Amino acid sequence: MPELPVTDIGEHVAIEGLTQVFDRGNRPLTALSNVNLRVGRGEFVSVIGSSGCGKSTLLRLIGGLLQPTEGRVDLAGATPAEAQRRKAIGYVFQDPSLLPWRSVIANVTLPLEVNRRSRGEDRRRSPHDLLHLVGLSQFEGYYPRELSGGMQQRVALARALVFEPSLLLMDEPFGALDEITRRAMRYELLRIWQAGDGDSGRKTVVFVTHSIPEAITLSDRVVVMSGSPGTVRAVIDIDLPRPRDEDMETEPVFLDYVVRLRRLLGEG
Amino acid sequence: MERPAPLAAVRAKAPRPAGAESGAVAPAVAEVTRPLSLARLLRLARRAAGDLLPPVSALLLAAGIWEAWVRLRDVPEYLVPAPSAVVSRMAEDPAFFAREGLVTLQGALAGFALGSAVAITLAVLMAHSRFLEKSIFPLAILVKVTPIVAIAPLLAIWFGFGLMPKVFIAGLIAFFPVMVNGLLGFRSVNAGALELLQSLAASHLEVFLKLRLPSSLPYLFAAFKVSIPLSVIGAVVAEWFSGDRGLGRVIQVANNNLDLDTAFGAVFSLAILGIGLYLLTAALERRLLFWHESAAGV
Repeated sequence: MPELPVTDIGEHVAIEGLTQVFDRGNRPLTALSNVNLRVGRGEFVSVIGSSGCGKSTLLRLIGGLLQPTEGRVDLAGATPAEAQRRKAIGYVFQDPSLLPWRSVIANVTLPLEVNRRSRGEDRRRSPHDLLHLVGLSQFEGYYPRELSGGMQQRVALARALVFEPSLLLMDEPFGALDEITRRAMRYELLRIWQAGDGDSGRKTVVFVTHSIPEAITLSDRVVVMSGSPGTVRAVIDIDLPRPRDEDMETEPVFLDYVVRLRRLLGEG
Repeated sequence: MERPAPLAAVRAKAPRPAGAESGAVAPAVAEVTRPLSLARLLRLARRAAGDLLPPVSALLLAAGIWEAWVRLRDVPEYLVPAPSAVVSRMAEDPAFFAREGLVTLQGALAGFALGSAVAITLAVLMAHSRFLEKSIFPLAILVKVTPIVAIAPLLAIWFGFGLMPKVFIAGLIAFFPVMVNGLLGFRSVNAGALELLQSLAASHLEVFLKLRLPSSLPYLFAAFKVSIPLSVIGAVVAEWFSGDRGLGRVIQVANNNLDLDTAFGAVFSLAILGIGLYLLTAALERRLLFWHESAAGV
């Protein structure tokens, strides 16, 4: 295995020569081929690409839900498995995946109830504060089925933040929402992420999406992937000032990024 | 697919006590804790009537047709007794039927509990290992296809008379549905929730307690509703062959004496037992599975 270069102070995720082959009997599928990527601490990076380009696979490899066929993932000096044991990774999926028999507040506190040895009380946030942050204070006692899709996804976000992970992995979290809710959630996420400026600093976010405006609005950098097998085609710096708002989406700079990303994705 | 419901609509749909600071839900809380009023009593009575009227009227209609048929065709009572005769026989000596019914009930419940416990244990093992699933499942099917009636007489030889053969047969019959559904239930978990727990390095035990067990409850209750009446049948079969007490024994003796009023009285008692157990299970299910889709599907 190649020696990993000494990591910078500000580096959080380092991906080296990552290749993932799914063994499907006599027709193995190469989902990722030699992917290299670095994400700085506190950086917001989106991974964009068409369906089946391996972007979800990449996220699962970073989160340790999959073991890579080749290459390695380094999370600030730890393997993904070690990071999991330290509860350093927060996950938000496309499906909110809330437990229907638990109330909203009990869903948020679920991560605190498992793997208790890894973390003391010091590294947890008040679930009440978090529900306030995502605008659901009045719904603590409700059950998931009583909430809309957007509200459920906000609960999932609060659940991912309650144990103060330093790394947040989001796999098309707004993909199942309608366009209006989706846009609202985009800015809500920005607000929540920026609110993390205080004590523990902003979280590092790796955000998988197939929406170009979503990727531009949220990210410091956008990783463009192409499929079969999944490779990184380009990495674009998004040089827009923060905090960002909806007006930005009609500005020429923003539209330039849209055009550029569309070309890279082969849409026009 | 899900639309974002306006907050007011959600709140109106679900008058659940949600945080004391929320003034908007306070009236709903007050309504729940209000003492019994006349209006509320009437509402409860109406609901009870709505629940009871359809089954009771269907039952009475069936009994009426049976009664009419027996009387009009002059069916001899050693072939088919009239429902009225059976009911008056039961009213004559209710303590007898209750006492024997209780004996059967004990055997059935003990068997059900034992069979379910073994079934759930095996299902847990199989849910965690394909190897165990492949080795245990054929054995379980072997048990399932064994004709109980064939081995029932042997049980009297193995275990003697009394409770043991009853528990054995009732457990054997209750076992299979619980095991199959339990296995399915322990595996039917939300993939995202499972990955979430894995990403937190949750232990197998934590995943089981927090996710697999609650997820399996709808499946387990479906199995219980099948298995509980079956375990009553199992207990009766055991009593038939090797019982000194119980409704199965009552039926056997009465049949030999051509005392069909008593035999049918025992059958009616069994029916009451089965219905009661089923309703109890269903009530418990409604309480525990308030969150499940099936709770809204009626």
